Amino acid sequence: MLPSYYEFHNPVKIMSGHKALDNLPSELEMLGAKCPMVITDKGVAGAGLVKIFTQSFDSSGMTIGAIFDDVPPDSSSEVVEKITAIFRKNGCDSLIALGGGSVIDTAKGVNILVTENSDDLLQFSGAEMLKKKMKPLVVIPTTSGTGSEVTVVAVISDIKRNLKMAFSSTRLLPDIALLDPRMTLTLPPKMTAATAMDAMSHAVESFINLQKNPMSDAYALAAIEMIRKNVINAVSDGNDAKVRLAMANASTMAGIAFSNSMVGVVHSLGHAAGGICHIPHGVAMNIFLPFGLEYNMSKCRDNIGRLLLPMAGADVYARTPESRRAEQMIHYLRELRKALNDLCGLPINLKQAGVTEDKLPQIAKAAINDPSIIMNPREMDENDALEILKKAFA
Amino acid sequence: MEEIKGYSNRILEINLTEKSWSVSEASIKDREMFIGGKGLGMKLLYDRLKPGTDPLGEDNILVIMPGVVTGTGAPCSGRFEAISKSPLTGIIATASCGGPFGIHLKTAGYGGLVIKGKSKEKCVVWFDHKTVEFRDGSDVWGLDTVETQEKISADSKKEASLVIGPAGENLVRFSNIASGHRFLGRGGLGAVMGAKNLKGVVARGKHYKIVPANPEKFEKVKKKASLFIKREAVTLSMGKFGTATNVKFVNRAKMLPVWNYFFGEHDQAFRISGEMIREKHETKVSTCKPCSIMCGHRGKFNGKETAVPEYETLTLLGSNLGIFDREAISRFNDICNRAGMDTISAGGTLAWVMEAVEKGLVSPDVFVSSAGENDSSEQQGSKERSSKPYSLMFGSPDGVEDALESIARCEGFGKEMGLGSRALSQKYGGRDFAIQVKGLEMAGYDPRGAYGLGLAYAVANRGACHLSASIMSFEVFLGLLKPDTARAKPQMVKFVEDLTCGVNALQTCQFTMYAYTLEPFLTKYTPGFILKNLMLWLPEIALALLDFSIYPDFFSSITGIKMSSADFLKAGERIHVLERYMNTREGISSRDDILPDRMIMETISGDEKKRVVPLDKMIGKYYKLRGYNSDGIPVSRLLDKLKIPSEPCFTN
Ligand code: SF4
Ligand SMILES: [Fe+2]
Repeated sequence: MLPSYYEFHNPVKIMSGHKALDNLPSELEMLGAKCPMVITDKGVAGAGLVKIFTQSFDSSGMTIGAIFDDVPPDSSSEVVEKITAIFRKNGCDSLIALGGGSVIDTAKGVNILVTENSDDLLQFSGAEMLKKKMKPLVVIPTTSGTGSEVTVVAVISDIKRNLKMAFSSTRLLPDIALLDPRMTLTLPPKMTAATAMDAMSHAVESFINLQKNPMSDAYALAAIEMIRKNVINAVSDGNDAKVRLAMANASTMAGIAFSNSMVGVVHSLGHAAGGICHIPHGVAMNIFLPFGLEYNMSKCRDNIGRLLLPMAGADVYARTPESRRAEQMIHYLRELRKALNDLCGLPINLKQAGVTEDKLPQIAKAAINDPSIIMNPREMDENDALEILKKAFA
Repeated sequence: MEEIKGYSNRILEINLTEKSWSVSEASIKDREMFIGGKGLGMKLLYDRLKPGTDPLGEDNILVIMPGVVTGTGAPCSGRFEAISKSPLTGIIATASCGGPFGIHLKTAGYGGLVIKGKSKEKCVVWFDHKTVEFRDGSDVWGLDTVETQEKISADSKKEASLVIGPAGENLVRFSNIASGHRFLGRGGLGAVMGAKNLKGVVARGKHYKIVPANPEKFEKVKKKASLFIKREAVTLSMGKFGTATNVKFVNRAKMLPVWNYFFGEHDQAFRISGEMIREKHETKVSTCKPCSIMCGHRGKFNGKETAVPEYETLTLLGSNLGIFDREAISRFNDICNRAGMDTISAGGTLAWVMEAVEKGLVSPDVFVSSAGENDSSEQQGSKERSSKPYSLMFGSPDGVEDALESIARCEGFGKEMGLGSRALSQKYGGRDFAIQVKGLEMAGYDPRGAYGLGLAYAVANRGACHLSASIMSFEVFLGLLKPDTARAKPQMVKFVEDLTCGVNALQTCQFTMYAYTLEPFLTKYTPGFILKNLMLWLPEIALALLDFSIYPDFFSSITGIKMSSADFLKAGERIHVLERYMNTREGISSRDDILPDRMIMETISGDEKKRVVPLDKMIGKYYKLRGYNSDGIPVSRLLDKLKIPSEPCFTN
């Protein structure tokens, strides 16, 4: 059904290919950038990815202004400030984020400070607080999951003031998302699986929630199909560049989908469990996804049923009676989770993820206050949340 | 301990109607011509069973035969054979099993057991080297195969039994017979016992010691055989990963049955692979005894130790139903094993039912199982069973347990499902997707990926059986024979059928065929591409190069009767043709040597090569090679050549 009104926005240029990196210098030039700063983390540098990256610049004549490779797993305002100082000192004029979610969010934070010429991030937190045109930002994801390369948000914690700042603005959208499989080849199996299930949860939630629209639907369906066809191979044989490129594409498509129609209860629970028990986000998504769908079943059975098509393929979809498609979809998701669990031990319940039962009430409380619950098709109170958590526990 | 040199020709004949028994003698000539096991058993049945006999009637006969090597300590020699007329197919059924009954039968002094008639009351037969007892079976009636064995052969060191579970009692057409934790799996032999009111047979053996006639030669052959088994790659991986080792190869060859043979591969197939099972379920060997290959395993499933499902179970009750959950498949396996049901036919039948529901031929409302008596708390004291609907749908394990149990208990629609997929499709339509031949559901290898196997399924005596000529080994596992061509397949199928019959008559495990034929010098050191080309273009020469002399050498060293490789192969041919001849007397002809439409008209979903089995291109040639006429009937010239009497010499 067509919504009476909706918006869909994605101005990010996608560069995807086995040698996509090689085209980056000339793209930067077109953006008017002469001296980019690279932001990454130790893991990425240690895996030799920075080296591959700089090699593609060697013959281009463009110089890299600075490289910062010490972004911590949770992006913080301190690091953002530190990088901002280096950026300014080296006269950089653009940003390249090479990494996963926290690197990308950190780069978005740096972009706010250098564009607004400020040293206080807090004043820009919230929705649409950015007024100036930002510096060129290129994002090169080294995981395939968060979708941050195409989203309008960033989350950065302020450790001193002990708060999490959320930023949301179309200006935070990168100029370019560059998908080069060489950047994800070394991602270990469990991380590959967890991030893939994050992408899966983006696509699935965007397709069932209240703000869904035909554009985001198209991306979501395509993403799910691509994940289904490739995720097992990506986890069992990480060296297959074709599969890696497909996963990167799927993740970006899922990112575009949820960036325009938002996520739901699965993310609410995941954010809460992540905050309280430090479960990695992708792991939490993998755990909660089928339970979230079951919770929403009464409100959006048809939409869940439609997902069986990308999730299981045309033959299976056609051969499953309409009345059973939603259940089958959830069943297929569960089977996929079991397969990933077999392959790399990705937890399928909270107990396996190290959560203790006494934490569940606390997670439930946090979940109903998470903003992502707003667009969920079915309302959720604390009791409901606790029920889901109990089911997902073991 | 008294000794038996090689073999005993004393056949124990039990008449259940009269509660009497006698001992007859198999002739030396028959021993030479039919070896033992399946071969000699077939001859015994030929001489006793009239064509047209009702498989579930009083006149059907169940023959149980140990092999020549049984009891000698040769590698993989703990096996025995059963031969009867099948209630599932209506033709001869043979089955092989590695449970302890075979050795006990032989060490009780018998070279065979013939069970005739029908007991008026539920009974158990017990025997040792001197006597036979007819015992009351009513207290074990209804018990499963494990409980029954515990009860009737309590002295497990000195006794071993053959038993049926509830499925056999209820005449499920694909019920089986258990001995230990191994089974006479196919063809519904459990129902043959059930129809005779025979719950179990106990053999108290270990009275005789089996010694070879020529111990030095025997030791030499045994040493060579063991060495080959220790070296050959397929054999080794079977020991490590069980028969599930095949999953990986078959999925890669795109011939894994998925959704009733609609797909040929699945990206979750790795979950049921031998490698994954070994990694996740603390597997350890649990085999037929004795055995040197050791394909049988136990492992931890659902928190308890149980049999690791075999390849066929993993595919027919797993992938073919769209299920890849190992723990669920293990539960299905346990239900079948305890109830005494063949997992292949059970799975094949459920797949047909799932597709029939999908196509609207069977109403989903027919699936109702009784949920037991104890869960209706509000109706205390009421004996009424509450019923619970279940559903059967590809991809979903829900309902499968209910369905299997309702089949075993013969309840509701389970009663019809217990007749097998051929009977169901005759009643409801949907024969094109009833994946069976001659009434026997197909094993877990899609022949559209290996045409030789397609021919083998079509002409196999007992129906769509992969063990009549396991030619997919050459076509897929070993890569020695191009799979998707009709060329050379008739020759290969005939050869492997004959050799297999010999092996099943000697009665050693068929899995020895890899090691015994591939490890000898010539095959091992002929470069692969030469062997491959020879097999394809000059199959007769390639086959002449194949050295399987270990088998006749075992026979000669144990029995003291001379036998060459050519003699052995000839005996195999004789056994195969005799079985065929018996079947043609039951009405089988070329009309029955067919494959399901799906295999010859539809391609596997997504198959770029659009392969279907070119049966027409192979079958005429096969008949010619066999010496059958164009109707697929063995002509009298062939019978004469093989010295098969065209009329049996009826005894008793
Ligand atoms: S290899 Fe397997 S089937 Fe053969 S005798 Fe050994 S355990 Fe039994
Ligand atoms: Fe997410």
